[in-house]
Amino acid sequence: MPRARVTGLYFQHGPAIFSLCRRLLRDDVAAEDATQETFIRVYRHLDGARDAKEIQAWIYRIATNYCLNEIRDRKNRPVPSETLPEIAVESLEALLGDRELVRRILSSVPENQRVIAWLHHAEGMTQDEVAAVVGVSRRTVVTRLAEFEDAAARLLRRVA
Amino acid sequence: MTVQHASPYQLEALRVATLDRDEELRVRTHLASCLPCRRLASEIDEAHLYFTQDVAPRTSFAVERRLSRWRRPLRGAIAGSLLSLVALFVVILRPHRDASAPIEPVFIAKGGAVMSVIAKRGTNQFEVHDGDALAGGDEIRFRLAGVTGRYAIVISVDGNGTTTVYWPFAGTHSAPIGAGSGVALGGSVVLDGSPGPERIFGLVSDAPIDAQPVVGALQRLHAAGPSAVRATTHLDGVPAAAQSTILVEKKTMK
Repeated sequence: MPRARVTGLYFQHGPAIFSLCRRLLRDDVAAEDATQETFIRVYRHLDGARDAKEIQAWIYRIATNYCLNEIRDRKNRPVPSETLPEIAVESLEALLGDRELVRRILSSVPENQRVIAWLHHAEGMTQDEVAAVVGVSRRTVVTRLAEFEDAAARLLRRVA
Repeated sequence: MTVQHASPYQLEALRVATLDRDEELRVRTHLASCLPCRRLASEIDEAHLYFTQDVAPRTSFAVERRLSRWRRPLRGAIAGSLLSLVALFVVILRPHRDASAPIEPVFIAKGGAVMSVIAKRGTNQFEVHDGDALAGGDEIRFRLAGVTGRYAIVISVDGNGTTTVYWPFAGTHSAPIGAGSGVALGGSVVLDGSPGPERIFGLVSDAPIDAQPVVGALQRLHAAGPSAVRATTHLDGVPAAAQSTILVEKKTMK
């Protein structure tokens, strides 16, 4: 990989990835580590030409996966229902705009929903963008999001 | 009607100009009228600033070290790239944050300044005492106490005779330090694996000190041999109002 490309990627995307990791992990030191790990993986797998938008999406996917695995590996337990807000389930869509709530719910859902749910609900990507970042079809994204929203509704219903 | 707020992903894309033209216009227009989104944009700006000022200078070396283990043929290129990047950050931006922890002084030198060194190895953080063994990959940071001057520089000579300005990292002169009797020097440094005694000096002064004469003094010290490095606790001919020093013995980590 050309030297300039490595430097350029680190300079251009490092701050954004750190920012993403910080939002996910809620810890500066952990976010630093996650950013390092992300670029290690980028370096290992960055082959061939990719355009700027594709690279950005790809690095986002690596970082998001890494952070969600970190959260899982910390053995986060399913969110105790009493820590979730007491709300009406009808407002689920509005609630899923709350990044912190999404982050907490993520630890309670299957792994194949986590990245997709985070990117869509917390990072605000469209379904098409999520599909491009994760490397799955839009249909899969729709399915996973529906599953996530069902799971979130069940969790929230318990305390409603 | 539901308002379509700007997402973090869009705001990041806006910064690196990868949004479509129409989308960029929409996001900019929305930002102009939406306080929560401007707050989010500010958070992202702050994260970017923190990363470029503090995180990148400290972590680039660690990244380079790990990259070098995976693709040796490219090690030089990566090292050069990241070193250039670090230099860029250091020249343009001064680190401004530090995760300080309670630290006890490790060595008191003439002039009243006291330098403490905290090391991090893996997940363990510990205070470094004079003569302690450290290894390549250990991360160290510094704190000065009893400071009367306004500028400081932390500089070392290792077992190979290589001199390194640890703070301000790769600097050519000492840098202003914060007010107060105890000053955490922002950022930390990952040690390389050069074995042997490494003597680190913290120099405090009322005016900036040129690093070059200090480098010369340290090179002369190295030329005098390991025993001299271990025994010397004061650098002669250096225009510092106060000096503090610590010796670490660098070991090769398996």
